[in-house]
Amino acid sequence: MRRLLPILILLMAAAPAWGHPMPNSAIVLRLHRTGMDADLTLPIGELGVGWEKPLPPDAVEMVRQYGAALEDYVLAHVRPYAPDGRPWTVTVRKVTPVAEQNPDVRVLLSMTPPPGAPVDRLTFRYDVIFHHLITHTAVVSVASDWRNGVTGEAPVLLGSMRDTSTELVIDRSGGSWFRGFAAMFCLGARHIAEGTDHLLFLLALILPAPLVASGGRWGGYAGWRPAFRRIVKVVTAFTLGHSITLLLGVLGWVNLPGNLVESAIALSILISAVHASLPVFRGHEVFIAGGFGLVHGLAFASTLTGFGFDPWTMVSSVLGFNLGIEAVQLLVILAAMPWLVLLARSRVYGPFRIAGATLTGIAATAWLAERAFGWDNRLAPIVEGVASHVLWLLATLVALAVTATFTENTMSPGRRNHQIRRIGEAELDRADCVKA
Amino acid sequence: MNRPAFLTLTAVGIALSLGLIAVNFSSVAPQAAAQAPAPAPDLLASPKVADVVEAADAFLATLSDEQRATAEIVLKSSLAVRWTNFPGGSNVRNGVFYRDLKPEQVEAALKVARVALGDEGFSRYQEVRAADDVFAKGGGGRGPGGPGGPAQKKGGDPAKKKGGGPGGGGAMFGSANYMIAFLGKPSKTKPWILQLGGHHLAINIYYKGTTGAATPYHVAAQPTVWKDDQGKTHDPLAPMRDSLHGLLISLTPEQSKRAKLDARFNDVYVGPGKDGKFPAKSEGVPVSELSETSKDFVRKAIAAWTGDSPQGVEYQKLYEAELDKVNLAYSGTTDVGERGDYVRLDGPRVWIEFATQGSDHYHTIWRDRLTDYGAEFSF
Repeated sequence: MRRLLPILILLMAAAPAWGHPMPNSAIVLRLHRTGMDADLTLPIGELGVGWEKPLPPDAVEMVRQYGAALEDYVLAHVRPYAPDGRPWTVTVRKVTPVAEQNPDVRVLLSMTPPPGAPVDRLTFRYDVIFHHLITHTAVVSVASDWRNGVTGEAPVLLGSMRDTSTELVIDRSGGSWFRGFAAMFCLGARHIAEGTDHLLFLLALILPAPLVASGGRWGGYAGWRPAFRRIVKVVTAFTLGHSITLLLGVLGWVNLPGNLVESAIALSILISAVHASLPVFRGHEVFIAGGFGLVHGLAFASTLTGFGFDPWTMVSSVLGFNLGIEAVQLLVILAAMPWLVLLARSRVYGPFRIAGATLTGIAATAWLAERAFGWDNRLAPIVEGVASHVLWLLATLVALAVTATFTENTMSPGRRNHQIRRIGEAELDRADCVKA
Repeated sequence: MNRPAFLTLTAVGIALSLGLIAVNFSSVAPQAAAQAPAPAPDLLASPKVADVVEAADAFLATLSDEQRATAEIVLKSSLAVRWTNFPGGSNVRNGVFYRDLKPEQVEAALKVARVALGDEGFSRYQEVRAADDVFAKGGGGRGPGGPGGPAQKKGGDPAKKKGGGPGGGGAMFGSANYMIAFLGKPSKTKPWILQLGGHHLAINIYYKGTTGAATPYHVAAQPTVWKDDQGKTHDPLAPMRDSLHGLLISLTPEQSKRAKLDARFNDVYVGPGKDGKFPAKSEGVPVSELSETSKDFVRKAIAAWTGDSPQGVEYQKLYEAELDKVNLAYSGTTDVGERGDYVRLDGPRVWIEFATQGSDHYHTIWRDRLTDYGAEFSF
């Protein structure tokens, strides 16, 4: 049913231009902790017939002339009731003209249950327009219901109302803080899992982690422990960075244009890809990762804004969303890291790293060109296509790591790896000033 | 990091990645359950089924595998109700569109329509498509904003809307944006539905062996009247409009008052998506109380819609038998041409609606309460 809503909205938006009347009104509900908002979009042509008033077709003019009277008309035809029969309080917060191709008027209502009545269960009685114009319908949906995990990103269609069904029993009970939290967690997890750019960034960042830098180039294998230690530091810095800007963005304190943020993310991936092939900021990874985190957090924030949550719910959302992001990041690193480290012990790792860095760099450049300059990105579908088979990629990595290890161990057992590892470890510990 | 913790972490990572890979390789798509068809009572004789199946098979043979998969789909309720009286393409309708077919394929499709609809029905079918061509060229389309409502600000040249509509498939209007679909395989024994549709047409013909049904039958027009290049006047829904107009002005003032509804309409009431949603109470004035002149107009109106089906004579007989139980209701003016004018004939079986969305824009529907979609589905 969720798929239906965009189609309905499309039809609503497009139909009048073709000489057909707009098919329906839209009622969008937003649940709060103390009540509910109802956002009505009423097509003026149909409203004029239902209300029996010769309304001017110009939305702005209509609101100027009839706005005040419209409040009374709407209030007389919207009657929510508590399960015990007591009426809810309804007030008009705003009447705004929508002067698009088809003139609409939007009426924003605040609805509050009587004392002691539940906020998530009611009988919604409504017959605006179709009490008289009986071929009219209103489509009702919920765009914000935290306790049931409903957000503006995936509104839920509740049903349609018409002359023969002027009552809609709305029961949003059974939800819980945890369900809202879980939904946000999933949203955060999905955001990373489906965000190819964030995934690539992460992988580019950990690609050189098992290696030592020497003389402006990536040298040999640094050892298990430094590799993991480095990963933990980089990921923690990234997390701290994006948590800060996510919160600032959601609170509305920082608001940068989406294009700028997306371009900066593409740039951060490009820089990480370069760093994976040549150590450009060896030793400063923590600060770089933290800085990139700040940028990525702004992109995360844009996903969370516009849900219409109250402050407490918003804070919960940020927490759930952030933990979802962390969970997937951790999953990716835990799944990929052992094999990368294993592979780093072999001679295959050099070409593998360069190939990975080059491909990531190309993808990042394409994104950058697309986001910053609006150039056509022909690579995007290919990158997305490859990324959608991420488990196959992982399988390939596993196979490669196992094969390489097995082959090289039989060819030159023991000494070489051992030596490189010891040198690497000492060097790395000096560079990072880390003492256990 | 100490050694045991580090080894555990590595083990978890390895187990995790192998587990994920295993899940990826073992995922299986779920199978859809089959649906048993319901019994279909009260069907009418459908003597032409063999000819229609022959024409349908001939048409389907001209299609590529991909086109055929689009044209021939499963007979089920959720697909059968996918039609509309609005413009739009495959996002709201089933089947292949003529715009996607070669001329000889369209020819074969039109042959199916001709055999299935009979001469009168096919002529209406072609006239409605022609009206859409005129509309697409900007010859019609004084767009109404609703009955009695304000005239639309923009006169609207719909031809300029190419490519912008829902579904995104090219122009929304014109005879090429009409489609043909088969729900179930065309058969002389098993049930199937032929859907012929497009903006302003939704023809659902049900076949089951030598029986069948002709509704829901939605026919509309915009513009309603136009002159072609040869100077010939076209008025495809004239029999519908004129019989109902004659009927309304034949009423006595008292009958007219009783027939008039307070409710307003800007479209048919039991339209697409409203299958089975007939009003609980039959409203208006009973035809039994009307004069013979009025009753004749009722018969003419019924003949206007049912005549578009090869089973029309049989439907007329059935509706004639229930004529005294039919109610007449209207809304708006008795002109049957003003924006918001609406007329309804409502009997135990017959349901006919005529709604004007402007003097040059009619929407109508004929339903048989007992055999919509051959009573294959319950609503």
